[in-house]
Amino acid sequence: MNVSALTPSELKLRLKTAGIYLQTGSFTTHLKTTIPSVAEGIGLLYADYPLVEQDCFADFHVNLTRPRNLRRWFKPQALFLFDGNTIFKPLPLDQAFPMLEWGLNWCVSTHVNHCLMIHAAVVEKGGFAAIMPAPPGSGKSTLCAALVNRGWRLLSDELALIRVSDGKLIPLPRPVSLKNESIEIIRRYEPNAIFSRKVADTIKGTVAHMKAPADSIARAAEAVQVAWVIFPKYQAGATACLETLPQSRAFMRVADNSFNYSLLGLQGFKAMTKLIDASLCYDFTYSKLDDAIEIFGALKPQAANNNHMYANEL
Amino acid sequence: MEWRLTPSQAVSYCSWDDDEWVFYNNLSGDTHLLGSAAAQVLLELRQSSLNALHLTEALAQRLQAENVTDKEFSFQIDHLLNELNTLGLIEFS
Repeated sequence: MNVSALTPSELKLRLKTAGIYLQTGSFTTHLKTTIPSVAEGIGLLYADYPLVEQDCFADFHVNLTRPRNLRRWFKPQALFLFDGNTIFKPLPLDQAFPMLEWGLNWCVSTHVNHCLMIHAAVVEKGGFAAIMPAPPGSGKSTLCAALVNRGWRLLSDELALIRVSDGKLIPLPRPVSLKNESIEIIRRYEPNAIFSRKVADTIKGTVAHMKAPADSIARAAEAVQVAWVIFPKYQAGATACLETLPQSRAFMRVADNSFNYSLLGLQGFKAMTKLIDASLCYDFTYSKLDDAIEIFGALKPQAANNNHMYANEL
Repeated sequence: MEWRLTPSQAVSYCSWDDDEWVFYNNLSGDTHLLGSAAAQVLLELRQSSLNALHLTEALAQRLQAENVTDKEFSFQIDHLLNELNTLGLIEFS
């Protein structure tokens, strides 16, 4: 059963009482909330996600609630609870839904260590994944949103999860986080895309989340071979340019964008070596989304015999 | 006195060309992007400990330097050894 099987009032009631067991990729989140805007956001953006049987195992237990303090009468707030504990400082109530999204990212990024985890958007086409690691402001999510509206499968907007055991990428398709000008750019680019309400004055500026394509959610169990590591950079007025990056340089930059590379130690080094060895690595500068789509459409995976790696201890 | 790998240094590395090498230091947990000369020092010392002169000669062969007595070459190797020492990859004993 998907979230969409519940009416808005059923969903609201379920979230208020027993909570829902929401399946996102390979993770189950037990989610409770009394905040209407969060229930509405889930109804809108998580409609196509499966609900797991009540009382089953959950990886994360999350509750979005309103702190019971005097302030709630003047400037109401939202609080993110993980296993019943406060993790972050409360935010204005208006930011409750973005807070849920940020909190769910935190749940994964701080608890999942059977994977090498990279701060990156990931998309797939033809059975091969492109990882796009980049710091905030580089246009990573904007490019990701454009690609998934033009035939690429969304694997993740924030977290690339590389399974240490076999190097495959585990999908975690969740809503795409867009901010400031990017929101209207993608609205214009794909008028049929579904967005959450815009929330202004957050720590990231104005934010809104775009619903993940239903096909990406339905195929969330299909792990994928990575073929490309591409560092995107939006630059106003720039001609789209895909420039080959030496793999050793790419290694260091991906490691810099990883949440747990150091934590994994030698295992992390081996996983990263295999990832980079399997990938063609590029710097990508762009200003027009259509140009980017065209260049991504022409990407070809590395030929099987094109392997010149020297390594030991692997 | 000889240069040697820091005891228990596993020397895990990868490289896709001869110019740059990625080394993982299992003792510190750090990963280093090293140039070819530094990588050759580590690979040479993985085989055996060497004093500075023998190491310079061995590296001259590996790096195909034409004149092993060249002061500049020796100076660069000394500098490199000190840097690798600072990174905790090798030690002087």
